[in-house]
Amino acid sequence: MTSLRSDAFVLSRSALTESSWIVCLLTRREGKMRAVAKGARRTKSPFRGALEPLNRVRVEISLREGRDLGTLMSADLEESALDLFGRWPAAGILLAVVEVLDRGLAEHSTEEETYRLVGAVLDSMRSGVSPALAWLYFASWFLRLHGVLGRPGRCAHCGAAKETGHFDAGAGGWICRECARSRLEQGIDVSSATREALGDVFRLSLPGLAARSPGPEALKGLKAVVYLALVSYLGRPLASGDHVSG
Amino acid sequence: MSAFPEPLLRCLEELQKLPGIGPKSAQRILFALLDRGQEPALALARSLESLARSVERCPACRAYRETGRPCLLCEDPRRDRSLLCVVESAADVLLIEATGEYSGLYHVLHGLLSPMRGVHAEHLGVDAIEARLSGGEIREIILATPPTAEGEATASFLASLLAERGAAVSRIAFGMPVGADFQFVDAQTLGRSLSGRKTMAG
Ligand SMILES: [Zn+2]
Ligand SMILES: [Zn+2]
Repeated sequence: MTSLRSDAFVLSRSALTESSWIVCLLTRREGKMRAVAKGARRTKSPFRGALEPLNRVRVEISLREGRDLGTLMSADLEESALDLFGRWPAAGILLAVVEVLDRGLAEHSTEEETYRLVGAVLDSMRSGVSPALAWLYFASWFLRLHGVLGRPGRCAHCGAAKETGHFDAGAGGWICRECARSRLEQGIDVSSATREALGDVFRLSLPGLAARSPGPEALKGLKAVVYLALVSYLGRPLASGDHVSG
Repeated sequence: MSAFPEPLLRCLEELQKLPGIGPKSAQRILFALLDRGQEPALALARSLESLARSVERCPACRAYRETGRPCLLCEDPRRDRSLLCVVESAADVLLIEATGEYSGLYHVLHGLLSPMRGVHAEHLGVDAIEARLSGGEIREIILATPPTAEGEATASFLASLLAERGAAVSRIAFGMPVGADFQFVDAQTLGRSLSGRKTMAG
């Protein structure tokens, strides 16, 4: 039996028994993990209130050799996200963020950068960055960290150093006009303004990006690209896609 | 081969489809019924059948009423028709009624916004709220969903949707339980009690 102490974001919880939850966490040290929170559904549980989605908590999880599912020993609330869920459209964006993390991360693979990304996105939303921009920043970086969406560069299909104005996840990402045609336009054309905005996302911090305030057309294009890339990465449309689909 | 006869297994299976009922609870309920003899079990079966056949959701408030009969909540002339309280489930109506503090109308959401669990905006019956609002009588909508991420998301979604529709939108207050000791209240609850404070008459 070993035990893990780590900071973590709560992702989701599902009922295990009448009194217990299985909690899915994004831990700083071990990536996505699931643990049983015994008695967490009882009114007087010490976990009460701490295990809400996107709360930052300090957890101790006890792990048994050869088992994926740990037992949550303690969860101390460091920062609550409840106030953000109390604002719309921020709440709609957070529902989508939770879904991407919950469905898009493999268990027990280190995700320190994703962990820091979530923290940066929540902090920026707290300090007033628009939820729509926070979504684009989160989704672009999530996709980049998981090898789906890079900076437009060489054609991912033919390797030529040509302008890559077409995004086609099935062809490996950014491709040239000729390859787009040969693949029967399976992806989408992306304007140079949108590609520039994506470059800004990868170059600037989220508050920096907000200060630069990219144009609405560029953002609309970026919204479509990240949604397409996410659907391809997750293998199906987002259930929380109502507020973030392109 | 199972140790139990087929009808018993089928009943166990049906019971376990209910929320919060696992194999152990299902067995407990079933054996208690069987131990009481035939008549109590038949009485339960008859009342379940009449429940399924003669109770429906009221199209206005989405709580339950006798099929085709006036809704006891919506049609009661003593109720304040200027207030609409929005709750997650029909059970919450009973809890709020028990407080004796509220005598307005209700809207039952039958769930909280949670796309990952398959609950989307269109499941919340917003059209029924909007129909009420266009009647012009509603002065205030009270959002009484729980203080959880889904409860807050649902409340903020409804507030944004119903803003500027002519009625004030309010959220129930969250705070210290009656009789609580400060030492045993978590920081989130205490924080909410402070931000939701109200002026006292001196
Ligand atoms: Zn090419
Ligand atoms: Zn009714």
